[in-house]
Amino acid sequence: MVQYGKVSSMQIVLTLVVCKLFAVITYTPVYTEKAEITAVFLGGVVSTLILLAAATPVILLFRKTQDDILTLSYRLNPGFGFIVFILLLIGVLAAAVDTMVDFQFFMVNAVFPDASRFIILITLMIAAFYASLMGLEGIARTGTILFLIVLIALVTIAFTLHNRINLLNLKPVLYEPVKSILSVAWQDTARNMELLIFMMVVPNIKGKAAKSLLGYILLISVLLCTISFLVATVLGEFTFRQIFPFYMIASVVDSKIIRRFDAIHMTLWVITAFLRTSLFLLTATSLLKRVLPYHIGKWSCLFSSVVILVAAGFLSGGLQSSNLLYDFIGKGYPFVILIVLLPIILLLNLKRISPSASKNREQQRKEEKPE
Amino acid sequence: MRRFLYKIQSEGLYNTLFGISEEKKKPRTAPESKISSNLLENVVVMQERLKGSSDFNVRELEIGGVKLDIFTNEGMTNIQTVNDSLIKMVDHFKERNDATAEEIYQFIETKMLFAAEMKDVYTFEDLFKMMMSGFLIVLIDGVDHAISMGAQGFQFRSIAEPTSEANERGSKEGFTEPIKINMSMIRRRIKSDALHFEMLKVGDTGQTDVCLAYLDHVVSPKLLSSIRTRLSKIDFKLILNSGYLIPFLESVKRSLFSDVGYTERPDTVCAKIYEGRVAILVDGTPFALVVPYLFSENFQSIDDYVHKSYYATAIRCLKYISFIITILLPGVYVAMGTFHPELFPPALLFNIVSSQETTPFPMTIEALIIFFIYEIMREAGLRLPRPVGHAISIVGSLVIGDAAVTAGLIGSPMVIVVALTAISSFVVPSLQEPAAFLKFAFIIIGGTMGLYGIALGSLIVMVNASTLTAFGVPYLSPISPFSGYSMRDIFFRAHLKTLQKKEVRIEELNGVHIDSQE
Amino acid sequence: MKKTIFIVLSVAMIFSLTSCFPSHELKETAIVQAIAVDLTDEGYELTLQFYAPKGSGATTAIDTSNNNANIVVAKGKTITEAVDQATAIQGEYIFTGNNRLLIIGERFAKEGVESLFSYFDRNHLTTQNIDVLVSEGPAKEIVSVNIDQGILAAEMLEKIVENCEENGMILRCPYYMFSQNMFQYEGSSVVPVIEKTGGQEEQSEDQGTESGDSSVSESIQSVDVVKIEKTAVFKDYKLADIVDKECSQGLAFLSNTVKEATLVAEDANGHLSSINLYSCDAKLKPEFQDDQITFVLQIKSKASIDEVLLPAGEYTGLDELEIFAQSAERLIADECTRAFNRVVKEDQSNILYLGDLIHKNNPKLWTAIQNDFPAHLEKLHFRTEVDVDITRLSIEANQAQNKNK
Repeated sequence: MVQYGKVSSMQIVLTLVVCKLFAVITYTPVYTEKAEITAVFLGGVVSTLILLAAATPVILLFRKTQDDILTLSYRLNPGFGFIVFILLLIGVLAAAVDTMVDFQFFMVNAVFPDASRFIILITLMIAAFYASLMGLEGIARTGTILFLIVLIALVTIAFTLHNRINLLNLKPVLYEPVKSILSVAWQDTARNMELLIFMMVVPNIKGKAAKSLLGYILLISVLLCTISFLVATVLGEFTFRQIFPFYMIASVVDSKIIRRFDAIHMTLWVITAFLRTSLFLLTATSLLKRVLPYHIGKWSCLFSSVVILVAAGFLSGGLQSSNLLYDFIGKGYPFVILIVLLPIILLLNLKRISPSASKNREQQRKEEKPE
Repeated sequence: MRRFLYKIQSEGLYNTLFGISEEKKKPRTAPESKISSNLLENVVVMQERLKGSSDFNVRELEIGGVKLDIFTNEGMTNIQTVNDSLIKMVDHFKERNDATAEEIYQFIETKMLFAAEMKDVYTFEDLFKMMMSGFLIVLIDGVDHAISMGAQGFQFRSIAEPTSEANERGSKEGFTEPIKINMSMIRRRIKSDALHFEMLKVGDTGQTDVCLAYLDHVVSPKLLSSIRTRLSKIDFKLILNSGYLIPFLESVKRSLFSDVGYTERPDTVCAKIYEGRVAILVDGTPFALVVPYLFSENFQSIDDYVHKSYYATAIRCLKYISFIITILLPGVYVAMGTFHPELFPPALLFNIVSSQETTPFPMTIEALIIFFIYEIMREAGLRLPRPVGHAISIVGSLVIGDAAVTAGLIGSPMVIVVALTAISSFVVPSLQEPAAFLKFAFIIIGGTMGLYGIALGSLIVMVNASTLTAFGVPYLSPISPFSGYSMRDIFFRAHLKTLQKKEVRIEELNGVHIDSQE
Repeated sequence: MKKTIFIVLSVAMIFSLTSCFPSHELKETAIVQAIAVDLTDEGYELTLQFYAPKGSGATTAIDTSNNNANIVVAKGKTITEAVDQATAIQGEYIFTGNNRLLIIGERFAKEGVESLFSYFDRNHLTTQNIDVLVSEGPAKEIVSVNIDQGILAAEMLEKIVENCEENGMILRCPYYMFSQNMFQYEGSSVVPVIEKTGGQEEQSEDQGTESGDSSVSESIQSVDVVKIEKTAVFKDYKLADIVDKECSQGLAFLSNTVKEATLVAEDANGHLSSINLYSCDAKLKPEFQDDQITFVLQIKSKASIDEVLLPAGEYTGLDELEIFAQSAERLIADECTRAFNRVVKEDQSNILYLGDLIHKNNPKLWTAIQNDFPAHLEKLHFRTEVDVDITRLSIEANQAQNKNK
């Protein structure tokens, strides 16, 4: 996203954390391989380690370069760069579509059962479109504020649930089948599509990109473990009867002033879905603008929004189609190809991607008309 | 055809078909005419230009054998000063009939001390500008320029308490209309040679005096350059109000929030200048503009620094909460009543249901109607004469407060929501415009999409505010981008001893990127 | 320009799609406060108590001297059908988002409550913290009860449940816990039982003031009384047993939900004393000896003396207080033992997280018995270690006199 201004590393980390929280709070164990509840919690812990291991090539790559993944791929080989562009675009669009489908699935099941799914998709897309038009800086600054709001909400939920935590729901660790723990851990890890955004945003980060990525991984791991812990200890095995366990524990919260918090916590979903969709849309727009000529590229945002909206509208029509992308991403194919293999390939060929070649390309990019 | 297409590309289709050409847009100005040494010729030109306008006076004199004319603007020049100057001149040259024009000129230049400001004027355009600013003009036969002498004596409103920014323990002085008085009020508070006033003229016809006030060693040169560039693009003929400049100074044309602030208080201006901002004084307006203006400044007031820090913090938080109440309370109330009644505590819900039983309108329409009536009353209260004001408040309270509820047109909880929203809006008056618009927008959104719509709307507003930059300074600074040390005076007010350790400079906030060319 | 067009189009589009978010005005909504579910031969019988203000005038008028509630009874083959029938009967949209109580009829409880969860778990309006009660007899009678206090009857019923829980008399059962326990422990749970004990007459005077008439007329109203003392024990989703007041309190102690309770203790001379436990902490731990599993309940409690019934001239000393404390300890131990034996061993209801405790402390053993754990319940042993420490003596000076003797 070279055409956008610089954002601080704290801003981008907090924004990506809020995005990732969407995947965490919409996690539905109902559709995953059957596991004990302790595995759900332990899986969250183990996924931190897997993520650190899987993201190591990314960290090492961006310790040495401040260019984004697409630039590096093109520098390696234009043909390879084009393939990477296609894969990145599909990955980013798929993540955006998945976000919208999951969000509308949540809204029409938990909040507005009689509402039209199109109105939810369209309104979310309008908001995301506006945000992506405003650019990376606007989204990143908004993300910083939203992180505080989300954190306050999570702390409130955790605090009000403290007397409902039943540690007996967590069974002894060593007696849990390793396979189920790893299965849950892999599911959690594979849903880190935010790293795609990160790999494209690197040139726009003020400060060290690798450090930002580490910060993101640690912060999201803490939040993931906390939320998994809350879900596991409050609901226990009952988790597997819930499509949205986190929403369930938010509904259990009770206070003297407001009897129900679930409609308020719906805003958590809205915030995270909005930010996630905006960022993926922005990334898709940036990818298209890099490749297409200016007079076509300026319509990239609109084109991407329409594609995402149509795909989401189509997939959200049925129960099986709604889970299609969710399962696909959960299995880890995009994660392995784009976030593990691609950085490894570039890391192995880092010496071939010379700084002088990057300077020439920078000059070419500056000559392009601004947005 | 090619030229036509090129024109469409450069000026746009609308301008090409319906707009005015670039040449026609340039104002017609006469070439500047120089003052001659022949007094008669000068007088003829003056009479032609003034066309007998009755507010100008001319006094023909012969002193020491030299003819001279004194031009004044009645009502703007101090008559006593004029008389004193005449007496002195007459007295000095009473014995002589052979004085030269040069001697008269030198006498005026060196011996007349009543006027602190004295300037030689060489063209008629400058002459008229000075005369219409209250200067006394002396034309001497044999001298090829006029002398303008500062003898302003026009009537102006005395320094009074600011009407729009009341405070408890701060200064009771507010700006007035004459720009010089306002400049002096700032100078009295910042007795530093770093304080610089830069005078500009804006408006072809009005030639309104505009003054940029800043501290030399603190302000960013790029900021100054940017302001000058924007002011130079103003095409208005007449600037009657500082508000006319605001759209030209704003960074984004269509934004809910304005990044140009205004104040009636000299102490506030001094505080802003000290942080590296630039104050813009406009002659004829008691409101000074301050740029760049950030969101958090709407919640700061001079009173915050005279109270204890804990109290000031509480009031600051109250202001933020009041703003949120102003924009969100009606929408949230409508959303909850229409889509999420489960959020109400049971006892409150029963009251609301009871009150809604007899009302004919849905909650959304009820809210829109009542707020519309409130806006009518508020505007009426602003414009009507004071003797009638009391009657309006009685009518308003009767209409909304009692009769409408008794008649079953609206519910009493809705009246409470309106009242609370209205009172909250006055806590932060500088955000009244966006608050009024957002209030209505959120009522409609809440009534159609519930809390989901409110959440989305809030996010869009947040993105709008986040993207806004005030002369390169992010509008939500120092909240986002976060600047740690500046946060000492945002949501809470740290102790003054803590605040004094490191001063806030607008240029040093995170994310600042001032472009002098904008 | 592009942004403006986009914004205008978006706003226009949103307005045109506004009907896609269905809403109901409050005046068209029946706010349900209590739901009773009974099983009849024709299917489900739903009794709904919803808020209907009885005040007069156009302004807010809730008449607290009246029961501001309407009752609707509807039937259907499923609960959803019954709800639809209820809507058809009274015309307003049935809104259960503010529901406070769910009362299950005795017959429905005995025949199995699985179908209950299918409706309430799926319904997004179900408040997870509503109190679940089982009625002795039809639940309809409880929801239709006439209680004059408060705004409406459901509110008072909820307060009664709350007070009983605060006094350590029952183990309260919010819906989410009911659902969770049923799912997690093979249909086992405990739910408070509510019963109507018949009506009582209340006299009220009405003074006439018209035309200076000062006559007084009396009216007699019938007001219902309910009580919550017993507890229903579920096993395999069916009502297996209803235990008495002492067992209910014992269950509360076993679950460590008693924060305050009043016990009547007795000394050797038959003198009674009311002891208020103001702090109570219970821990249930399993002990394993060979193949025997013994659950040990350790209760540590601090108490105060509220009242001592002694003949005139007699005073309580510290020794007597100790006797009362021991009496209270025996009382608690008896209640807990009775509750454990009745609910766990006799009814074989898998409550109190016994399986989880065994799993946590002896995973190996748990692996061996987890498949048929309910059958092992009757073989469990139970022991109590109760410690009641009277630390507060109130402001009566008599003890001091006795101390100085």
